[in-house]
Amino acid sequence: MSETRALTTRPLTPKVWEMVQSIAPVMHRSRLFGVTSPEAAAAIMLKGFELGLGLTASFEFITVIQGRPALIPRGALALVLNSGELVEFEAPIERGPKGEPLACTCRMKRRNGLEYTVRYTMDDAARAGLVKPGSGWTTYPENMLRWRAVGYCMDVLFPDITGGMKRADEFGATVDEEGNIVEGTWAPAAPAQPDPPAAPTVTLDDLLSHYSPEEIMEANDGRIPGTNDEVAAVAARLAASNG
Amino acid sequence: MVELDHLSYSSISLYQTCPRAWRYRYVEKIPTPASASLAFGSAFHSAIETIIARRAIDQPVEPVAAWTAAWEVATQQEIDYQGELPEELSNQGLRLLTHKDTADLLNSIVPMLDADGQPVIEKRVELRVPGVPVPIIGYIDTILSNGIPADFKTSTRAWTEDKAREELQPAYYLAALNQMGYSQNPSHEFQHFVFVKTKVPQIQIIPTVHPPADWLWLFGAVQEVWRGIEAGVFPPNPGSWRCSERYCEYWSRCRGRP
Repeated sequence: MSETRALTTRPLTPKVWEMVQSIAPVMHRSRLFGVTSPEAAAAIMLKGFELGLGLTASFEFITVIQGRPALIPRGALALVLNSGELVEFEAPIERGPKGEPLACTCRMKRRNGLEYTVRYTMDDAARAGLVKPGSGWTTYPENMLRWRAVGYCMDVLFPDITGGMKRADEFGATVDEEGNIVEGTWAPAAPAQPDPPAAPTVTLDDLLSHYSPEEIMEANDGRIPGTNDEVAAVAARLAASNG
Repeated sequence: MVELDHLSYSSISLYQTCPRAWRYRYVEKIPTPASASLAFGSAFHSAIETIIARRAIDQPVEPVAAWTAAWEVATQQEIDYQGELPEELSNQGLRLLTHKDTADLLNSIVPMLDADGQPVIEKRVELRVPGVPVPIIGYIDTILSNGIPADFKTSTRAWTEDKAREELQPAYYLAALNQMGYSQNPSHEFQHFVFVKTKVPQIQIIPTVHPPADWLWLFGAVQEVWRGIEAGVFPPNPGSWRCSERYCEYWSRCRGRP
């Protein structure tokens, strides 16, 4: 049996909630970590707690962008590394004739054998409207490519570890070499558009290619999953028990 | 994108048979008269459910009275008889319902009783499919006292076992019951009661089994249908049995348009 924890199922007890409420105003008043309100500080701690982080460590890995908590890319990778689930990882940069970064291909493999590869190119970024003068995509293109490819790869392979949270770079935040966000440089990637429904990171078809219907049901208390969230939770449980 | 708050087995089945007919019915909401066979089936269905339900609570009703009332209700709506006579249909229903084999069968059907002591008839179920934001709503004709859900059908010809096995409706119901936490049918059985409208009526009892693999296949099919609806994909399906003047109520607007 794997020791991987289902990080999003850590129970919130009244005692923890009491601590969050008492720490949040302090973190806000301290002006550390740039939290804009006690409520934002509480949200960061709750989200971090769910993911298995300590209450104050949450501020290192989670930020609030456009009113929503997001993992900084380094935080997402830290959670994945800490889980012990990642056994193979590479993310080389492809360069053009003048040494300019063109693409990054990230390959990751889980302990249970699941493997996934994502290639993200400057053309992809341009098509998504991300490459703008003064943005991270023009000033730090290599970092942005690498963390975007790494991020997407983690989204698919480790949703159980990252709790399905969006990453700061997905909101348009600029990322430095270590995967930290560069303060104050982000802008909404698509401010005028409502978010489309999030595409599921694991589908029923994905599950069926690895597990039998009976195994899927057993991992969902004997019931057939009825929502994408249930599918993701089942995927996490099965991955953990088969890891 | 059309706004829907739910789908149903028949809605999904119609999309699979002809997406354009689905658009006429659920997007454009074009009113059409009921077909004679639909009205007949609905009346027969209602009559047998009344007979079974009333007997289960010791208030039996005569088949003739049950049929007369059900046919009266069914014919309140506009019906396209397509050359059939209402009186003949009424007599056919009476003949089928009062036939000895039908009476014997109805006497043998014991529905499960719910917590209030009421027979489980027309049990409403909701199926949730990942990636499909609306529920698929259905009504199970009855759940038998042994925990097996069952469905009543009228048909102009006898069913084969293969036809019963290939029916998708049971998979909807069994999956929905599973999601509701229903555990009294662990072997995933389903019972079809088919009333064949031949001159000498035939009654068929066809048990089938629909395991979870069937449900998951169904989920994939429902997801495909939903993606089609969401994307506004409504092509006609001229290869379908439905695409004819006789069977499609939208014929004059579509393939048969002058």
